[in-house]
Amino acid sequence: SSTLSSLRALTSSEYKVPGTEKFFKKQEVYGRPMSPHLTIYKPQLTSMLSISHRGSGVGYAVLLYGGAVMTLLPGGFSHYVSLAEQFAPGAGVILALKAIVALPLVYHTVNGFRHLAWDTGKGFKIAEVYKSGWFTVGSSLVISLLMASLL
Amino acid sequence: KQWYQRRVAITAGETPGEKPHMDTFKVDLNQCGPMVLDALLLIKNQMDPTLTFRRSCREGICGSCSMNIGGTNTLACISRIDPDVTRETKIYPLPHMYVVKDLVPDMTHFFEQYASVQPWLQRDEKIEYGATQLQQSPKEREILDGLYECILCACCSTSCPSYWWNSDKYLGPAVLLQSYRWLADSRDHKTKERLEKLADPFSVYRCHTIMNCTKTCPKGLNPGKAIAEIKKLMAKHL
Repeated sequence: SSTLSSLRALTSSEYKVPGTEKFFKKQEVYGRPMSPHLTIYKPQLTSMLSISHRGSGVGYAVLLYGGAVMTLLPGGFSHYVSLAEQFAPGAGVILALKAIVALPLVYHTVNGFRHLAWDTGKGFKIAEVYKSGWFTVGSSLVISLLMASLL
Repeated sequence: KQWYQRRVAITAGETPGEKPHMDTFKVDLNQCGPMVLDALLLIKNQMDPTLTFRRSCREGICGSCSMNIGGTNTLACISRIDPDVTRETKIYPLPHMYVVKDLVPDMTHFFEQYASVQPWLQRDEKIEYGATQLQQSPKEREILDGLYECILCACCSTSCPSYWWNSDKYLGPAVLLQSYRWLADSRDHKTKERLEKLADPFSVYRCHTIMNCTKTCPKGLNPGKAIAEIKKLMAKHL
């Protein structure tokens, strides 16, 4: 539609809310301090899971691209696997490391389904958000461990 | 005797260039009412008369005394003081707002954003007030429950990290809840125009469903859900 085609980033001179530019200029002129935010706001399941979704997304993308690049490097992927095998860590350590590598991918996927449910409008009551949130955390840990032990 | 420590963010209202700092006050809980606002008033009356904060109704309906108490945003007048005297309660102004003095943020832009969503009834024909009742079925009226009760205290918007980073262009949960209040009202005819006004990458779509807003609302409302409904309407009609 024509409306969607006009979706583009607004430049600062095109503020939709009149008075925006004047407001921020005034704060600058008065030299007003900004109240603290990240440093003082209580970490909650809502915000912590949300930032983890972003972080795990970046994390597993790095893993994916990193792994892909590694196949192009001299010696290929198997060369680096044999390098790592020389350290010969214990089976427990290998399991833990594999689980840690799997966790961002698993968490992001499980939380992704939570986001899809939200997109339909479901699960927004705060009790539901917390229930689904803890379920996401728990199942991500379990599935990561399972994947690490079986794969 | 019960002593209770309270740290309150003090910012320079008078001396320019003075760095904002925290002041600590000890309050005897036996001499004080049960709510955080009572403690603030006690401090102002007996210890430091320069302590500055907004307040009015003292019953959680006006939205004046919204501030960050113990890490989350609520109304001071309905926030009970933590009876554990071994712990300090930290009180800060609403997060990521320009501070006028102490606990008083500049709310001008917040209200400008509210005005920008045209929070009044708009119909195709000219409304002759008092001529007829604009009727609405009980089911249609029920949709407005959980939307009309907003007191515009700004606790939700200032709990939203997205609003912290983009308050110039992102409208924030409070304003969007009210925008949805008018989108959902069966008596309003300008749904399409309202949605078109929201069609840009920032006004609505900086919401990433962080859900700090619903968690912190002192009136138990659900701005997160309202924004999700707006997104559904946008997808359906635009």
